[in-house]
Amino acid sequence: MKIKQLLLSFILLTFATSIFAQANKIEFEEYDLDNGLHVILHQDNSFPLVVVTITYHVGSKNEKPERTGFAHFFEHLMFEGSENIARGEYSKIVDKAGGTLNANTTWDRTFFYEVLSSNQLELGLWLESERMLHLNVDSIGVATQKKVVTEEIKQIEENQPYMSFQKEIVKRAFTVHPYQWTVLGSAEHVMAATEEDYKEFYNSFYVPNNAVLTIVGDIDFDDAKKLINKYYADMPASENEIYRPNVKEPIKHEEIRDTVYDNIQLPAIFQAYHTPKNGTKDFYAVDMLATLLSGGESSRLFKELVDDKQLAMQVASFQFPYEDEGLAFTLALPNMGVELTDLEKAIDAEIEKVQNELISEKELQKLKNQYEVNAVNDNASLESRAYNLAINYVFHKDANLINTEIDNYLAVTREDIMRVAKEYFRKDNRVVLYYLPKSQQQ
Amino acid sequence: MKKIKSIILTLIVALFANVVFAQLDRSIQPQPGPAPEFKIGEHKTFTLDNGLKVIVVENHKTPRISYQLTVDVNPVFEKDAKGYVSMAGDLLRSGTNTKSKIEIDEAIDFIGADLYTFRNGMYGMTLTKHKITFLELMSDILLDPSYPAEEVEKTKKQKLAGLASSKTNPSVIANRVGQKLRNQQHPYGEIETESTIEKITRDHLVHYYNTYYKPNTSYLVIVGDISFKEAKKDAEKYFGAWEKADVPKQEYQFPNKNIGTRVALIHKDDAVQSYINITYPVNLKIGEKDAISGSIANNILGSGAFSSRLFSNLREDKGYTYGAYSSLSKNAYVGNFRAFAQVGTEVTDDAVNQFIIEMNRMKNEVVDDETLSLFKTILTGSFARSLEDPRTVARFAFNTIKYDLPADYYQTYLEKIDEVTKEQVLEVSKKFIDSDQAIIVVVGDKNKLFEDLKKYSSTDEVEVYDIYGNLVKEDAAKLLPEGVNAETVIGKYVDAIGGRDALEQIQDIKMIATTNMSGMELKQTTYKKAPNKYAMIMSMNGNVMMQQAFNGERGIMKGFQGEQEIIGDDLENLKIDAVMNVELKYAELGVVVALEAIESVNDSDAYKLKVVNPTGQTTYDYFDLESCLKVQSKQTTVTPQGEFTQVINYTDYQEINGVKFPFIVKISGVQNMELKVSSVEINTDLSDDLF
Repeated sequence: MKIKQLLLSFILLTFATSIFAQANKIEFEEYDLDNGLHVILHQDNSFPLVVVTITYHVGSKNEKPERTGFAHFFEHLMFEGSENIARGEYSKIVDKAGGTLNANTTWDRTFFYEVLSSNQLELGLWLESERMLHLNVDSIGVATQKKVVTEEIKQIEENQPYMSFQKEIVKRAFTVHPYQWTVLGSAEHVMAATEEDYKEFYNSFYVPNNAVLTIVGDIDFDDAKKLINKYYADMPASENEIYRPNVKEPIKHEEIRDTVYDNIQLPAIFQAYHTPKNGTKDFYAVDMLATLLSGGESSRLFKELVDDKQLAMQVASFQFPYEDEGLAFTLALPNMGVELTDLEKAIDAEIEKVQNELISEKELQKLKNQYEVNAVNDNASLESRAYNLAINYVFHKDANLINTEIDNYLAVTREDIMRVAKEYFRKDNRVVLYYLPKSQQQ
Repeated sequence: MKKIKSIILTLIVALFANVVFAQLDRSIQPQPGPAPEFKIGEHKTFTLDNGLKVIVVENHKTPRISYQLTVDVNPVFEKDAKGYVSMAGDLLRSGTNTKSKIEIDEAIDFIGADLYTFRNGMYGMTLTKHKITFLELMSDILLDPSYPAEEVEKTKKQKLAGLASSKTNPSVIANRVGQKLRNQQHPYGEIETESTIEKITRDHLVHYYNTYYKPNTSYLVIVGDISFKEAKKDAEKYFGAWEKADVPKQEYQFPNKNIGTRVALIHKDDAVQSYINITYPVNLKIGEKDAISGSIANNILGSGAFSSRLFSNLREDKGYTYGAYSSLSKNAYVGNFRAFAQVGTEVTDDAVNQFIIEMNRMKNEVVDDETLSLFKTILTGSFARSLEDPRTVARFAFNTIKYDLPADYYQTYLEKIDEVTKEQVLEVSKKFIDSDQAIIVVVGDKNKLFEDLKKYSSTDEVEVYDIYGNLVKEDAAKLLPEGVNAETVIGKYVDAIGGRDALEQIQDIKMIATTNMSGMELKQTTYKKAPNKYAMIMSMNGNVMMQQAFNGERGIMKGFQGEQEIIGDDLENLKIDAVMNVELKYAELGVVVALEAIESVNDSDAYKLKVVNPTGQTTYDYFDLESCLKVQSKQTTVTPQGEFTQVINYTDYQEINGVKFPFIVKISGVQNMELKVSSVEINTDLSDDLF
């Protein structure tokens, strides 16, 4: 009798879980056009809105070492106008349609989007097709954006305290992989490039067979498909093979340490550990490890270093969402009178603790709770759903990861966290930088 | 037969599609389709026995639920403790009779939820599966807050710091004074000042909570992944014990509209920019007949889109400002109209003129069809985008019940936008956009603006206010007495701090002061040596962070950006600042001093001296009428980011070797800090190497 009851409640439980999963599953349809453009459609009629996004599978890692910063430069150039859109009008058209638009670039992809009321779907498709088909890559646009982009690089890397850390870390961490330069790249490269260089880059990467078009929102699939055909079907595919670096950073066995003198008042520590490839089991465990260390005020580093011992003013730990094998960062600003070496010892002690003792069940539960909330919130807005569908396809050829990725996090065990702490958060697998005020430079 | 028809149809459709495809003219921008259809989640309501009105909107797309609680009370007069009503809300989650603030924070973190509290309400969101834990917390916070004394003090300090940093912020000042002047005799006209914040006690919060936080005047809006039945059960369980009671009702009149246009000027020394805020009260509520056409009219005038009129005129055409805007706010008690921009001092006059021209154009001319349809499109887009936020749906449900709107009011909102005619826009503009009843609030340089602004006032009078909206009376008491001038004020000051003889005895000074910056102690050491050597070192825990030195000829600055020679005007100013007892030597240094007025500084009257260096750098020094001591100095710097005023307050004068020095120096403006002097040493034979 008892067993029966147990069995019954077990069945009910699984049944309930699957209902839960079903109800919140993000349904979508995907297909390729003849020219290789991958299309993903997701319908949600809750709001009279449509999000049109295009993700180009090009980022700073596709650049040549002597021409860095191009992908980010193109993000800017894409707002300059096209054969049919006059200079300066691109954003205004969206404004006047009551919509918003923006774009961003990482090491691996460039993402463009428009959020419009759903009766403006065609406008969004037209706007993005103009970019893909015949962007204005002319001398005026290039000259304008060269100024804007080099100003941005200066602003971020030179004028913002500590913000050169990315550049300083990656150039030491990576010896063969193109992650060794940043997305912003080099201002000299951007300036030195010719109109021809830019045209070549445009023709190589901003082509249908290197792009994913995602449309999310209040759409009718048939109408949307017709419109997509109207604007994209006659676009030619690129005949050249798309350049994708196929290099693997060798496994590290020696710690790299250095000091950077920067325009800062307070010193700081940056540590970066080499981490596994995006999408692997260990990737998720490392991610959770970073959250365990610094996610929220009750996290380990925060409680220990900021609250209790008052060694640090600020601590953070996070993994960068690279496509290939990447880095997880730990950074800290010391409190007054605290030596960086003491602060570093305290951070290392916390990492050693994770390497040597299993985290508590309650901590694991809290992590899982936080990731579940993230997964829900992260798929709540149309815009983030459009992004997640696109990025999961671009990186993993699996748009459905939008529904299943949370399972990868929930499957992480206490033992996994301990194991990845040992395997990846090794001293001989990291770069450590001390940031010191320029005034202390001898 | 039927079949054939449909085949033909398919053929035609296919053909047609092909034709479209072949002839796609990419130079034509696609036009929007008809206004989209959509469905806002329907709401259901019920009332608990204690009177709490509960509104539920089911939406099972995402496994989360939001809870918004609004205590719907009439605004009360807070009088000399203005600020306690919002503090009573802010502090709800700072502790209950069974949980400390830390325990509350941790519990909310554990389930990854959000929970904010504010003036008369709270808002939170949780995953469906953590609903019970969340509701237990929310119920505890709402029904049993303890208002811990130390949290009350902490919040008061934060509020005071906020006020201090806003003292020189022209937009804050212009809005505050505008709010006060347009809401006379109404609680909305009350504003927070240092003195009202100081007067707030824990008792105010507890008393307000006990009197006004009652279920029978409150609404709970639940949106998300929950059934109506369950929401009802939960509401009874977690909020059913909340006891009802009669809540006092307030009576007040709608503020008097102005008869004619008023000009209110708030002086800001040497301001190079003026902040203009044209405002008046408006009687317009959510859901009224004029609400939607009013929104369209206001958007055409000043939404900030590239094509809105204030923006095209003042920014695109005249280049007076980075942006010019207007707003028409609906409110259950008193709504308001505002039109505002920050412009250069020299174009302030014409900018006000252009504002009035554009406001009058709205009420005198019918807008053209193209403009109307463009703004309908913009509004449709922003309405559509706003719907994604669950708080919007909660707000719509709340408004529908509270303002007794038709059930489909928001459902048909886009149609209502679409139906607005240009005649209606004109009609509503005549009603609500009216420069003839406006208060033109300007924060700027009174000396340059006073005369020019007179013509906008119906009475030809410009009213002058302080930053808290108190009328500055140029009455007899504040007129400068006969025989008082800059020299006599400085003479009395010199006497008050110890006299010329004592001052001239000073060969050198070493002064140490400390300050706290985000929890860290900074030490400032200042050296001065006669006749004109000066050095200052800022250090933290023995590490030098910044250093400045002047040896009589050369000045250098060392800091995190390396060593820098001080040159140009900065050097010329430093040459004067470095002089020992500079007040005794203004004439020979070419510094021009003039007595300007008597103004109130920290609640007592002070002589205001304008001190101009040969470089043109201007400082205003204030000397207390009674003690004759220097109590404040003010200096404005213009940077590409705008202008910043630094205010230094001097208090706690103490005597060292027969000379008085201020021992507390409070700096506010760009950066707020309080320097506490810990030692002053005189004539210790400082080495020249220090400089």
